Amino acid sequence: MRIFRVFVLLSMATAALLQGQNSPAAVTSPAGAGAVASTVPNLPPAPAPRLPDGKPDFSGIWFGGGPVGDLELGLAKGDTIPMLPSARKIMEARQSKDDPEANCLPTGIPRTAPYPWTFATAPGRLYILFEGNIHSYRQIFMDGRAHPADPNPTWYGHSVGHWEGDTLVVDTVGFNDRFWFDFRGHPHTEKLHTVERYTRKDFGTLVNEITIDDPGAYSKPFRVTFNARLMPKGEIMEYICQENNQDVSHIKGPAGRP
Amino acid sequence: MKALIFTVMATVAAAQTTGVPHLPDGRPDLNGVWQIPYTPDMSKGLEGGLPFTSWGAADFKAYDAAKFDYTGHCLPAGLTRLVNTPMPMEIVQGPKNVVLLFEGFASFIVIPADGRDHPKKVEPTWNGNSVAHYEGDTLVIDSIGFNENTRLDTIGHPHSDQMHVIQRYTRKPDDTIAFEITVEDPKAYTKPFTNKRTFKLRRDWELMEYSCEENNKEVTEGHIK
Repeated sequence: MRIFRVFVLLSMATAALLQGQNSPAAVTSPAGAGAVASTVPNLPPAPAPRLPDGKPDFSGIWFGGGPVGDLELGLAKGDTIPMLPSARKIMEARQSKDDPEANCLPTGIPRTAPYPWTFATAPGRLYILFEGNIHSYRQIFMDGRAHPADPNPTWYGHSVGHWEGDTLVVDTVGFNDRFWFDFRGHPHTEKLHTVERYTRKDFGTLVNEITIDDPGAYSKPFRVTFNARLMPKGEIMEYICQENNQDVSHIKGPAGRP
Repeated sequence: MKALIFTVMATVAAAQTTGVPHLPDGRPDLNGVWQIPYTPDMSKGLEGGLPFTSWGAADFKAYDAAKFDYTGHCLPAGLTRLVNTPMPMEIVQGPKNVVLLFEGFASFIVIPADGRDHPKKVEPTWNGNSVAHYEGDTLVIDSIGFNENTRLDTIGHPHSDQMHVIQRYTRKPDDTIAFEITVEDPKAYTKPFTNKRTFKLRRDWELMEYSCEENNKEVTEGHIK
């Protein structure tokens, strides 16, 4: 069992580690984050594997692929996040202790917890199983259905997926407005619409290119990109956020990038 | 070896004549969303009740869910209580594993089904360490390595860290699974006991999002008495 009594501390250490995650060389072993760093090796370059039917094989244990500390880190050079003043006000008022993730609530999308995750393929559905992120799962319908007209707002929303060549495209609406995009507390509203495009660029890298569209918080759609990295010997272990979660009462100060 | 292969092939062939749906490789097709019967009391239907040891009997007598129930604090239900919930479960058969997804508590368990046995040394966990294999049309899940933080069922039947759970999921032709769960725990029970249930395939159901932690006022505002 991984009982992370120092969950937030570790998360912050990992987040710091992941700040340069779009350049794999940045993921080395800085002091204080060795436990995680050592499990995510830099793999030698090799082509992405394929399933017998020719489709890309996304199996395996992945780490990262979304914002942890700061959504801005996924922006292309020169881009900025087009925040509405109302959204900026919400972000600036947020306190770290209220971060839903620190309170054992789901990360929502596109935030990732600094823990491994994996895909599980069921007929007509795809699941993402998260070790951290309160050890929950996310459901993506792959049977060609459309979003419901008025989805019940949830943490993971209503997701439908399809393949475009070698890219898995996941379109999601129907979010609640409760989760934060990152430690900094980038907000959103129930109008949020995300499109994630997952491409296994090479053996060890799954690129997630995310378009965020939320007219309630951002003046126009914008795009962030985060790379997930393969943990070749990884396994999804038991993780219990609620067990002995002593950190929340110790978290102080405004929300911010660790 | 040849005899073994022949036996396996014969078993698969025999199994496939029964109308039970199979995956292309011959495994029974257990994929799908299953309606499982709510079982708050695993002693129900067992003649004479559960075969408590004196430790088990004393522990059960002392337990009062009204004073403290760990699931009220969103802690994991534990393996046996997950399959006892009134909410559906989905089975996903991977090439080398089985994933059990439970709507209740948004829980899931990834179980290797690649021939491996339990590790020699198992660290106790809430859901234990599970390995799976197939016997004809039956998926067998064997679990050990539990901590003592959970209960068998809602009314609070106890178990110890010596618990060994065997689940058998037998696919039937009529869109059902004949489910059997056997609990063996020499510290809490003098002999193993078995519950039998029927799971129903619900082709038009899907798992819904479940968040225990969201607005959990029962506990945070002290409504549980």
